[in-house]
Amino acid sequence: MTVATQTRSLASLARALRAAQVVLVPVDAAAPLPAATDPTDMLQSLCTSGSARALVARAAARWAISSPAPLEPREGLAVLPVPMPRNLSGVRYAAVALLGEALRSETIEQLAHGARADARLARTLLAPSACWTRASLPALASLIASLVHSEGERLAGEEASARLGAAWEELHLLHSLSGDMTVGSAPRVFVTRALGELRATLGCRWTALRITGAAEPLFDMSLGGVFSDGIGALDARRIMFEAQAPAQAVVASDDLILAPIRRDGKVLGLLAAGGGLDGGTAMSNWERTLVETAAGHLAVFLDNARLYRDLDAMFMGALSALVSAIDAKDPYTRGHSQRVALLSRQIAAEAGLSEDEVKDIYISGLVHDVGKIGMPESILRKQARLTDDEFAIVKQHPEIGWRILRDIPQFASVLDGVRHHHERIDGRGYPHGLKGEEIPLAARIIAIADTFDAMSSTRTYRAAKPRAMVLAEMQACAGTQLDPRLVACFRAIDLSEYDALNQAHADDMKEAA
Amino acid sequence: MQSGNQPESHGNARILVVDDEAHIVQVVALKFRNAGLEVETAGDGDEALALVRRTPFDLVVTDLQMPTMSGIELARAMASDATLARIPVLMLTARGHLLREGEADSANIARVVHKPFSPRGLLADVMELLESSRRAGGRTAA
Repeated sequence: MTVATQTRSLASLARALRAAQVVLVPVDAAAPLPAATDPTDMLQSLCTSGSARALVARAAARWAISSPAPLEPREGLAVLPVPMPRNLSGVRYAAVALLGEALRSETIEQLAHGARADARLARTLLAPSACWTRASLPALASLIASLVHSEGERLAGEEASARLGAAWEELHLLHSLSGDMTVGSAPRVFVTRALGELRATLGCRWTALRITGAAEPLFDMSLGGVFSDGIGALDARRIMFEAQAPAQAVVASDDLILAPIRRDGKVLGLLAAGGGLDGGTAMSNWERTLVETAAGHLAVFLDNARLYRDLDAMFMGALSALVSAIDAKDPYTRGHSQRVALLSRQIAAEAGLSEDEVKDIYISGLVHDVGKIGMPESILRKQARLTDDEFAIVKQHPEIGWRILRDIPQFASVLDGVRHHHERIDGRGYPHGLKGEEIPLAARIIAIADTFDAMSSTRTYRAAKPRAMVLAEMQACAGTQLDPRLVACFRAIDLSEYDALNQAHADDMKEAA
Repeated sequence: MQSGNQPESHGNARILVVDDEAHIVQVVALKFRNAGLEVETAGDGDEALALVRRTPFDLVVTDLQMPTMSGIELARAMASDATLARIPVLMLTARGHLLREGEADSANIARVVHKPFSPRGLLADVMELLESSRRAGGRTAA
């Protein structure tokens, strides 16, 4: 219950009573009058004059030691207790009414004197207001009680509406947070949106998040792992590093709420909302609840992202191990799959493909030769020229690789690159003799990476060719064997990472020898 | 939602809130009153139309689905009445219920907000609409 609501409520109660020729007066003679008080109203002025308020205070003192019943401290002046409902407690009130039959001139004179009003004018003006009688006082007491009761009910209804409104705010925040919370969406994007949503819902100046502990590997921590909305990065970092992470969400001060981000005992970060609210109200437990809710969502998201990252790392590790095992069948192709994967990724990125597509092409490049697992080592390691029969066996490896992988549903998007990386733009490739754009994009990219790596490394049948010669040969193949637009993309990529990887593989080979 | 939404700048604005669901009317009216706006309420389109014809309003917030007269019918009736056509209408609808193509324009619907809405967000929308209609020379400026 805010002070403003209470003031509004008292004013409406005072208005309702005034309509029944009754004035609402605080029993504490020093307390302010209800806001609706009209200074030009004679009844109002007389009943709230200094002498009237002294009589009210005395009546209240009597009610404190005996039962609160209507009193008549001066003839014709009735003072009735006002039983305030619980949600309007704080200040106690009495109701003052004039009793027509019993009203004495002395009473009016005393009140008029206290209010510095003319007694004769007062008597004329008050005539219609002095409408109550001693006999009707119990009826007036019950009217006051029911007015007060219905005001209490109205306030309770308003309180319920305020709580319902607050619940809708929370629901809205939850709705927008969970809408954004898909695993695989970039953690940075999610936390930035969550901070914006939280700030908007709270209506506070800023929100900030500091990433710690188990969530750190998910982010670039070089800037301290602090994200913020509505506040400069430097200020956010200073505040978040000075803040003591509490065990539970707390209203740390009038303009700061802190909530730890935790899941299964792991601390993942600290969430803060601060700078005060729009309209200048202090932050309360209601805002704390919302920050806590957002912290809970962030905890789930960060933990899922961490698990996703772990699984992804394990998957890529297992895949690399499998691929190394295949490459090891032929010492001359050691590291070939990894180099092809690297180049394919670079070409795909250069061609402007999406992050997801680039990753699929990387994986596809990594496993493109998985079908060689079914090739006899005698053929793979053969130093002399292959016979037609032997070459026919080698030509099966894309189809075999495809068959090995096709039952893994998650590999659907990498199958094209495996099956078609030996197709040629002019249709003279294998296994299906596809032409031009009939060849899937991933396969056309991997074909370029595969060709380049084959020419750049030493093979059973020949030594590595110099870079310039390799590039010239690739250019010559553009349009017949290779997609010319993708060759152009390939020419634009930086080969230093490839050279480093190639060197590392060569060193491994020497060590093994 | 921006700190620029000082309620006092629209202290005299009169808003009509129309919904057949009393709890929605209560929550919205309380939020608006606390922001210093003057609020009248109506439980259906007929009652709302009678009210806007009797006294001037700066903005009408209405539910879409209501018995007897829907929010769209109310907005259309207002749009076809020269004295009411300039009052902007903000429509509340259930999430997923889409207005038909052109429906919003033909009925002068200035904005559509989906339920469950954030009362704070709704207040921000109302303040924004009041501000732009004030700049365009609505009742408040007159």
